[in-house]
Amino acid sequence: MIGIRDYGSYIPAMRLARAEIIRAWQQKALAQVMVGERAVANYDEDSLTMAAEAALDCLAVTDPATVDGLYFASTTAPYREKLSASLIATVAHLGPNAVTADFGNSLRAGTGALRAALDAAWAGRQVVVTAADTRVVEPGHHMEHVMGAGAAALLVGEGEEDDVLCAIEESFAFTHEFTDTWRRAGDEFLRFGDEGFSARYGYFHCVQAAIQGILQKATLSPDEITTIVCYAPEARSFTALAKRSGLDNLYTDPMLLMNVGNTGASFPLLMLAAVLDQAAPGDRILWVSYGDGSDAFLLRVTEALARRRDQEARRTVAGWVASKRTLPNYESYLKVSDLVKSRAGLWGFSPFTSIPMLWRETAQNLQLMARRCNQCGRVIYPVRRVCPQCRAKDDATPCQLRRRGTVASFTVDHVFPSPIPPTTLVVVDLDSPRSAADQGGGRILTPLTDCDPGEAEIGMPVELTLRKFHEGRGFNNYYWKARPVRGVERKT
Amino acid sequence: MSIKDKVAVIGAGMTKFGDNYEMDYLDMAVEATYEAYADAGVEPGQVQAAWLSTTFPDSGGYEGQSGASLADALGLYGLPISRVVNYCASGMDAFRNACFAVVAGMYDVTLVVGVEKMRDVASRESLVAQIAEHGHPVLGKGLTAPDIFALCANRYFHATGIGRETLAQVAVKNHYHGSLNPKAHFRRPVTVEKVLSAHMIAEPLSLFDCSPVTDGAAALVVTSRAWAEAHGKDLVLVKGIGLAAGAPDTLFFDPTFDFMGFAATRQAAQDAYRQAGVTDPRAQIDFAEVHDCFTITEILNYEDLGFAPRGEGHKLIAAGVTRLDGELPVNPSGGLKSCGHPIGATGARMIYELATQLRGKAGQRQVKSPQMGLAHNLGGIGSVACVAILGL
Repeated sequence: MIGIRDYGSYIPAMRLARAEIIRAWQQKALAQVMVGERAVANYDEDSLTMAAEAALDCLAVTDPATVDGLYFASTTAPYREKLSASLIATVAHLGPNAVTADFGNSLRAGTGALRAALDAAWAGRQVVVTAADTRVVEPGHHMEHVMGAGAAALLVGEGEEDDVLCAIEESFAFTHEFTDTWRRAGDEFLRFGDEGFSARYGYFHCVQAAIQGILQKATLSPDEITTIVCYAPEARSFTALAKRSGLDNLYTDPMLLMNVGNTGASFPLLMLAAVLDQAAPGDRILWVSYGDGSDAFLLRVTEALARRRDQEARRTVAGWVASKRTLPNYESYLKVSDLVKSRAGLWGFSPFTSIPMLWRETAQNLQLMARRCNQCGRVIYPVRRVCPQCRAKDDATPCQLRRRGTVASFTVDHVFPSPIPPTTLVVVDLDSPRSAADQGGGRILTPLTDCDPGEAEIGMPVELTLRKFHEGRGFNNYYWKARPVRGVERKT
Repeated sequence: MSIKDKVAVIGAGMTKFGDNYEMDYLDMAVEATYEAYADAGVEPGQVQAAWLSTTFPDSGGYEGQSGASLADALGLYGLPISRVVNYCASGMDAFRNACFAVVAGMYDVTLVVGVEKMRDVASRESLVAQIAEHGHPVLGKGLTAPDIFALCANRYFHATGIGRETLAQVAVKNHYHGSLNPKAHFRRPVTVEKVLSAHMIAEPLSLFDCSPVTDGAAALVVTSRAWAEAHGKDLVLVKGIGLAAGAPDTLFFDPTFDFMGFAATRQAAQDAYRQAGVTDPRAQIDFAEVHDCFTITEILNYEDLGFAPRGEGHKLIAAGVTRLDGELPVNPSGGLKSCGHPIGATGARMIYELATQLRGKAGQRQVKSPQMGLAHNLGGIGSVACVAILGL
């Protein structure tokens, strides 16, 4: 059967309370409606780093050698020309023959990528789709309350009943030329049409056509569906859709919209991940996206999903949602989102960097590949030809550093430029690889992000997260920072 | 092989250390050098070779990139002049190179000059720009000099139970000594309160736990012992000098590093002690100039130099042992903390201090009847250390 073999998610730690947006802009009229919080990407995050987190979560127990491709989907890709999928595929240890592609320019990009992955699965390939968005609205626009940031990933391929979590039994496409929300190449912010008009002739029109179309195609009636997981632009859309369509099995859990916001192209995938976290074997899910039309899919949950959830502690969407840090004020949101011109941050500097240097160090930097000395067992990182401990030359085996460790020491630096100073630096003793009896897992010096100053402690557990360090020489320089452990983690 | 009693320092000079806006790089080299010539009683024409130490020529308009800068300043054209760089240990390493050339018999009379112009660029901007714009693109990005020692301090606190108050006592001691040194950058005493309430740089280090950014130059006339004695000079002798490249630039990626001191200092000291015949440093060294770039560093230095056992360096400062009136005065000059740290000049300034103290010319800050003094210079991320022992 063809279906979803695994899935992952990621929601940034930072939150902005909607009450704080109301205070900043004196939007008293919104006080009743705009409650809860919205997720905000930290200053060192972007859609690529969030999609990488979700992909790594999705592939945590999958051998990368079995993954044939990676598709990245976003309306806020960091580059207009330079693939994000190839970098994420590298981080995920996919091989040089992986099929990599970026999908973009629509809220439907996530499911568009999923459809392409589905087609690839029919052709015998296993592909991971990872979608992420951090959509930017003009400060003071009421849609600032609605937008959020987040990512989700799905691994699509062929398998048996016991290793496919949910079968993808049917798909339906509906394309619709319509101008609802948009952003031209030179625009910094989203633009919106008339909301009432867009809802009626765009959103409801498309999703209803897709729901009816796929049910007809599959010769099913609505009450044979356990849950209809339908993209919603905002919280009120759930009730509006239910009322309009007469459907009573819509997924209407406000957890994501109340606490995270609309995460753009990743939103349908994130909603699906939240539903799969709770779904039971045999459940039939009708999954619908929206954006310049609608993609719809019919999914059937297998026993494998329940067995998986029972066997191991693993990250859930609810776990990411609950693991959060509320920004102290609206000004902080402006600073971390780079919406205010200032002298703060590394962006005002021109850090040394070198494309050939970073190319040489791809495995070391993006894949956390170290070497283990064959003679004395020392983990050599950064990589050196001569072992610093026993001086053996060119006699070491590649080994991958773990992305978990404990803090050996720390400091809080008040001088280094940052949008939200001070910055914390940590020395992390990485966990030992599971398999080898050796001298430990290596050590790394790196900033601690997604934390409060004064939070770092010797002995504190942390995990590594891919982040954007700076834009030296006009391109994004990515590497790993540490962050306090978030939510629930896989035991394996 | 030992250098003991074969090389002499016969003269030393230094500019005032501070915001020397009215002197350029070349002016400072001239002032320090001519004071050293006068102190040594030598004419410029007698100098046969020279070594220049400048660590960051780009802070000073690219002067000091090459030994030729010294020829430019002093009119020493045609002489063999090398520039020596080894992070903050550059000054003492330049001295070390001069000593070896003299011991090898190549030259009788040599000159060592350390010069650093740091204040021509706004100090905060230049330091921040250094860290932001230089170094590896991503590995260890953001590590400032205060961060290096703050990482050690937090671990030292964790291991020993001491806190910021003990570090503050180092600052109080060195600022007091500096108030007695007419050439120090900062000459006002400070209190523990002032140190503790100063704004944070890299926690737990406040502004007053850090040595300042300073302009300065120091110069030494280094000769063979035979030449010095034949010319009736007031000399001090080099007893031993060691240098060790003890750690990689990626020290904080080394799982065996314990944050409690630096192997480079221990290794350099071991070699210097061996040459000088010192078996009990605490008893045999009468006074020392150690690299107190930050208050915590001085405490770690006590341990690495063998003045106190591992983990007990803090007891020396708490008990007043290392004050001017104590058993083992450390940094009677005021140290980097109070003199300031023009990076390439600091090692040379330390030798200036040893020579001045040993010849009884230190005035208000004179150590009582010293026979043997030690200078210690530490650079990079514990990357390199130099230890020199001078005596009568």
